[in-house]
Amino acid sequence: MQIEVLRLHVNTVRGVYGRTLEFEKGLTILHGPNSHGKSTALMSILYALGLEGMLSARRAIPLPHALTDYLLDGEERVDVESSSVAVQINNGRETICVRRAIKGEDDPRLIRTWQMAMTDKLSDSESVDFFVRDPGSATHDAGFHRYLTEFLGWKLPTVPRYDGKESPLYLETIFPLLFLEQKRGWLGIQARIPTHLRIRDPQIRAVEFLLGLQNDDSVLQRARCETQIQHKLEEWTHLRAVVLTLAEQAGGQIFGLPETSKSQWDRTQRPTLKIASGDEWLSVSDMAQQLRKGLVAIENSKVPTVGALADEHGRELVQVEAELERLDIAQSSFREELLLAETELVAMRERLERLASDIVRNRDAAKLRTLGSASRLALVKDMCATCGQSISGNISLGDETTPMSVEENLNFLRDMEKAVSAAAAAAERRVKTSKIKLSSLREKRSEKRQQIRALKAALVQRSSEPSEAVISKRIQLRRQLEILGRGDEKLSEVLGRLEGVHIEISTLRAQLSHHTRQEHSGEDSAKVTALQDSFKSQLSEYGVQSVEVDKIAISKTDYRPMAEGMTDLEFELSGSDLIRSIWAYFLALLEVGRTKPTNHPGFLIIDEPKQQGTEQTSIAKMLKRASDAGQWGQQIIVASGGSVEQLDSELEGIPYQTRSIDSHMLIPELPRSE
Amino acid sequence: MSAAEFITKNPIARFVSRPWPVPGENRLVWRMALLVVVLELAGRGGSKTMSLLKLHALCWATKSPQTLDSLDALLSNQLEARSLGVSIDPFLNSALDVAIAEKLVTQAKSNLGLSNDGRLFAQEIIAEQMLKPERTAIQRIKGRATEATLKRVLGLTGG
Repeated sequence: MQIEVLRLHVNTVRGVYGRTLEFEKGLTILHGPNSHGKSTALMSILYALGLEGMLSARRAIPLPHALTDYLLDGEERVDVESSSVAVQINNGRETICVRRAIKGEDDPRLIRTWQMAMTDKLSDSESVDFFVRDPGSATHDAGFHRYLTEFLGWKLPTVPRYDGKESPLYLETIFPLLFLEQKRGWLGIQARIPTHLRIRDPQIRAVEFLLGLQNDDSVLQRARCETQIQHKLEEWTHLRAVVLTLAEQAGGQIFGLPETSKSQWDRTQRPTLKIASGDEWLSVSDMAQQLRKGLVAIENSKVPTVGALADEHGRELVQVEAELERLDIAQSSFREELLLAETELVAMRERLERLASDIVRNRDAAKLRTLGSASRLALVKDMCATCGQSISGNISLGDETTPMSVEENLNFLRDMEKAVSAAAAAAERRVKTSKIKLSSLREKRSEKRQQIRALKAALVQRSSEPSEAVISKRIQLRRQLEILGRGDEKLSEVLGRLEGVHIEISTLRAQLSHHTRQEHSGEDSAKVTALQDSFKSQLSEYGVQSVEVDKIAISKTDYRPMAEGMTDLEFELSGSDLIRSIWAYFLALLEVGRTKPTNHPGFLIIDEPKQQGTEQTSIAKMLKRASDAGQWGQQIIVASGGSVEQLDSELEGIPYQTRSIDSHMLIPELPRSE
Repeated sequence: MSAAEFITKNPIARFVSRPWPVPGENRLVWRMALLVVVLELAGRGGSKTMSLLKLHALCWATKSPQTLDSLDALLSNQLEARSLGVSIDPFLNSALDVAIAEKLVTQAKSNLGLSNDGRLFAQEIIAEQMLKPERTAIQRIKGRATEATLKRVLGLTGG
């Protein structure tokens, strides 16, 4: 793609001000003293294409007061009534103009397009209009970014997001590799790729796309697999907790239960329940047998008389009383557990209520902007009603970092809601478990108390009567058998489900490793190598000294340059060398597109870094390297603060164009006839 | 390699500045919506006027079920004003400034009221069923929240 014309148009109380810049293929240097608007010109290209979302999540217009509020004509302040920016672009097949309003009657979310070159007579009635900065601009038929994507001959891949969903690789993620802005573009390699769109590893996806690397959808498949595994793991953990509780209720323990979901489930060695009997652990069937034997023994023999059993009863009584005491202690600790879980549940539920209310309010805030009676409010256009300057639309507490936009905030709150809901569900499960434990404990205690009563009664019975204690024991044994049976049945059912989930997780994990990043194909490898070669040769050319250029490599996993020993190159570089490296990276992406099939649109826009003091890095060598872009039909636009004479001497003999802004960017123009 | 060298060569953390969440009620457009709705539902006469004190009190009441109950109890003489945290909300004053600048709200001496545009805005909000919990709160309390009662109970003089 080539940028051919940029036109800024401002209507003021004193007439029309504006600037028209024309660009050709090859290297164009936009120069002039600082603060005369070079950055403004480049930013307005971004703005015209609806890409200010790559700078931040806010809707604020990234243009200075000269375009939105007032400009200075000499010493005089002239108020801006309306303003717009138009850009003419060419994709090798057709030429179109796009225009977007900055201030004034037209909605800044609208971009008008014409299938022709720029003239003064672009009439609104002949334009095809698109919208931008609303969600859906990248996919909707009427969305400008969908139109621009087609114009660029691109097909955006679907990529995974942090919340488990998927989205197209938005243009705002790709363009930071084509447009190097002055304020924050020079902070690091791949630095300005935005994360607020919630795409996972956006830097990697952006470079992959730009280089045209084979888009195997292993990335998507992996993300889907991982989400599924997450869900199954929650179920697994829950089922395992239920198993442990049931075992405890039955008065036993589970042996052979896997500690983590990572092991292989051995179908021949299933987990089993064993019941405590004194010092031993008996299997369920053995325990049942023991109980049955005891029962049969009691039933077959005559119920002994009290006199015969007096001693035995006495000893038993002491023992059972001790057991009851132990149960009492256990009960108070279970009660504490329950109290904690209930408190937490209440707290979680309160949080959920507050989150729900915050979500409703944020949703309303978003909807309010669309109401008819709100549409003419300056606030809805993110402007102050009194002075017209850009505002964020939030009440802020003073000096803070960027606030979230309403959409971001809603996503954030919904994520929190999910997390807190999960925590509330977990707390609820714990409450249930604690209650089960307490009730089973209560049952055991009442059993013991009954036993004690029976023993005491037996001890005062007349020696010739049948022992109540023994009768009571018989009843108890029967009950114990029944409970054992039921518990075992329930446990088997839950264990069955756990087995199912465990095996599902193992299968999913196997699938996941199958979807592991395939090695790059031969062609792709060659592209990454080409990127690496161009990068390194540039660093040598530019005289990078703070690292050994020979030992640099571009990582095949995240495409970031690495110094010796696989450390991130950025940390090793001096300030000047960082500037050279960032330039080299951008240019390398462009150069690879010359000899290999990539998605690079063949243009770069670079705003020179603001440098102070004596340690100014000369960009002459970098400009020299950039100057052969024209031979390849590519375009590089650079804004530079150096003077014309300085540039001429440094760039002798190489082909380049200049555009100079020697007065202010916006100059008065003769009024056009209607 | 010393520990310091090792850490320098193998950085363990990178700090990235992230945006800050804004509670829904701090979105200016939402605040303004609350203001016009309070005035529309509880204001006097055709211009729907009320004192600044009443506006603050009613907006405070809509913050949560707890604040609504507190104000209700206060106005029915069941609570001491001192035991409450009824506050003058500085954020509300900012929102009020914007609402006045946007010509939704009018100011005459110490009373605030709605312009035609303000009334239209409020009515559209109500028609679209927005700000439901807040509107229910206002309906419940507006009967008791007369200018006279508020002045007496909240013990503040002036607007």
